[in-house]
Amino acid sequence: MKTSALVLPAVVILGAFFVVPLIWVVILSFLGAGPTGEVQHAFTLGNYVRFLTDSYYVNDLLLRTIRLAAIATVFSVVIGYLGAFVIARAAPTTQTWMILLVMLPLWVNLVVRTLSLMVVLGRNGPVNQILVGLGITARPLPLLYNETAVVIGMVQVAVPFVVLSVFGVLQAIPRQLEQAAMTVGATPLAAFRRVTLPLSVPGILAGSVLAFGINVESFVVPILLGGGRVRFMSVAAYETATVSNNLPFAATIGVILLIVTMVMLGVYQWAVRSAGRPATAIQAA
Amino acid sequence: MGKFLAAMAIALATTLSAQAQTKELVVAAFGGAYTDALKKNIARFEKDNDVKVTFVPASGADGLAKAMAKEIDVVHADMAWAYRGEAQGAFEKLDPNIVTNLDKLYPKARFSEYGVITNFGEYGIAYNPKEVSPAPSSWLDLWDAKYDGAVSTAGFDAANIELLVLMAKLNGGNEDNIDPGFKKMAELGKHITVFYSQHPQLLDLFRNNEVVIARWLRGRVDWANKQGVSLGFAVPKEGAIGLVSTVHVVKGRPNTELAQKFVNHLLSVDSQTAYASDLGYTPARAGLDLKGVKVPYGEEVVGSLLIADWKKIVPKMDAWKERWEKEVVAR
Repeated sequence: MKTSALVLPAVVILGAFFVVPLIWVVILSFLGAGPTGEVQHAFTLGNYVRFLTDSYYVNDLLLRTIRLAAIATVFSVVIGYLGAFVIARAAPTTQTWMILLVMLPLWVNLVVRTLSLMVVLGRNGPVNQILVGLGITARPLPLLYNETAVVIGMVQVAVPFVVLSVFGVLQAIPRQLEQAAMTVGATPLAAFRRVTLPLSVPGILAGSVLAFGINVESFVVPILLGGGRVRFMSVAAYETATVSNNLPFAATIGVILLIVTMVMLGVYQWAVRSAGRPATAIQAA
Repeated sequence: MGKFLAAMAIALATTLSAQAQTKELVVAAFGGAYTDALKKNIARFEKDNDVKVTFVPASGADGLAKAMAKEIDVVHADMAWAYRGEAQGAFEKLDPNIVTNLDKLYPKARFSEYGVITNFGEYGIAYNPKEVSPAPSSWLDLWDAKYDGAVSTAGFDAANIELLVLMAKLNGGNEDNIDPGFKKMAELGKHITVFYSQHPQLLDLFRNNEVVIARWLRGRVDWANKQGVSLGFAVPKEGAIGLVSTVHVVKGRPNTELAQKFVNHLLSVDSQTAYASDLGYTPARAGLDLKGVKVPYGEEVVGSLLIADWKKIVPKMDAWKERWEKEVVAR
């Protein structure tokens, strides 16, 4: 048996449940909708014109979605990298436990996790109690039902993915490289900045691509933590289908989000790769 | 091996014949407590008609998609989805010779030839009596500047569409001239911090005193009181907004006659009483004895419910939803 046959199940499943529906969504986005929601089988660019010529859709929806997802990704990568670094430098038995703790939230339903975040961030929640108790603020802060809450929620979702992808790469970097740098006079910080960090770029890249991909398609988090005010592409697509009953326009929102995300990730990967080329050369050696 | 195959064959044959004997009726309903209430009296219907009724949770877009795909026999809907289904030819006409209970309903419950309203809920004003005194008497009390930041309503749902139309009508407009309504709703939007999306969320907002007045469902206010958050419920003088549950027979399924009988069953005295006693909804059927059931009931209650002309609204919902996001939600 050829090994290429081994990818057959994956190809069949992806093809049947991802590629074919995706093609249908793309086709749908070029059709019109009748007054009571029936799909009209005639080609039109109207949905794209409606989206791209309206500042509400472009600024308030698309750019806000990308902006919030990008901010959350930056926080996720910083927090996740620090976590992965601590775990990579811990004793092997401690490592196992720490990795388990990182993976634990992934086993809890996202809705449950987000609901618990609502309790934590609420007006009478522990965060506000601590802030008021320490005298940092006189009155509870509005941490819930705004963009901040949505970003916190997305960070919470994405951090474990960043930790896991960075940890794998950090593990593979020989500690001797850092030690060698220090024997020739580098401070520990300089050794990290000039040796470990560049070598871990592939992990950062994988982690941030994962984090951004997960954040930009967030659905539960903006619905529950946004208080109905934080508009988000995925929520808009859902409501356009289920409330406005305009399936083609909902498909258009989905396709635009997909294209923009793919282009952004492509550019980002290219930029990071070209910036970190020397590092990848060392790794390949 | 031979024995095994024979056993398999017998098992298969008995299952097939069992299936041939009992017909199956697939009913899409709202799920949860609603479906539980429907199940309460279902045993007798199944026995009388030699049918097995299976409930699937589906309504709205999902329910209509399943009806169009002819996967279900009976579907529940609200006003918007009922008109969409009717326009797309998803439903069978109700046969008055089978659905004999149609005569017993309040006129307002007769949705169209293609469906019927089985019960009504009441949207009014929920308020925290410690903060809101005297009790609200008009929908316009939601607009009171006193409650800036502490007033809430849901997103662009059916009841807010009713409120939008009401505001248009109070300001010289109607379903065809909605601008005055949006102007008024935009003012309300400025006072709102959170547009609630789930009932437990609004309960929490009331509990933490972040919201003191909101558009909410009567049954949910009773539920909040049971949860230890004491709230009042006011029916505004303009009328309560009607929450409507419709039921329809799906076209092109093998057992449409049985499906018609099932709709008739939902309009029977027992089923209609269960809507009130188990769900707190106002039955669509007149002349019931609801002693001891704390649910508003009667011709006057049903007649006073605000229900707009959804036939005019449905084709505009896409545009209205966009305006709602731009004019009411966006700051």
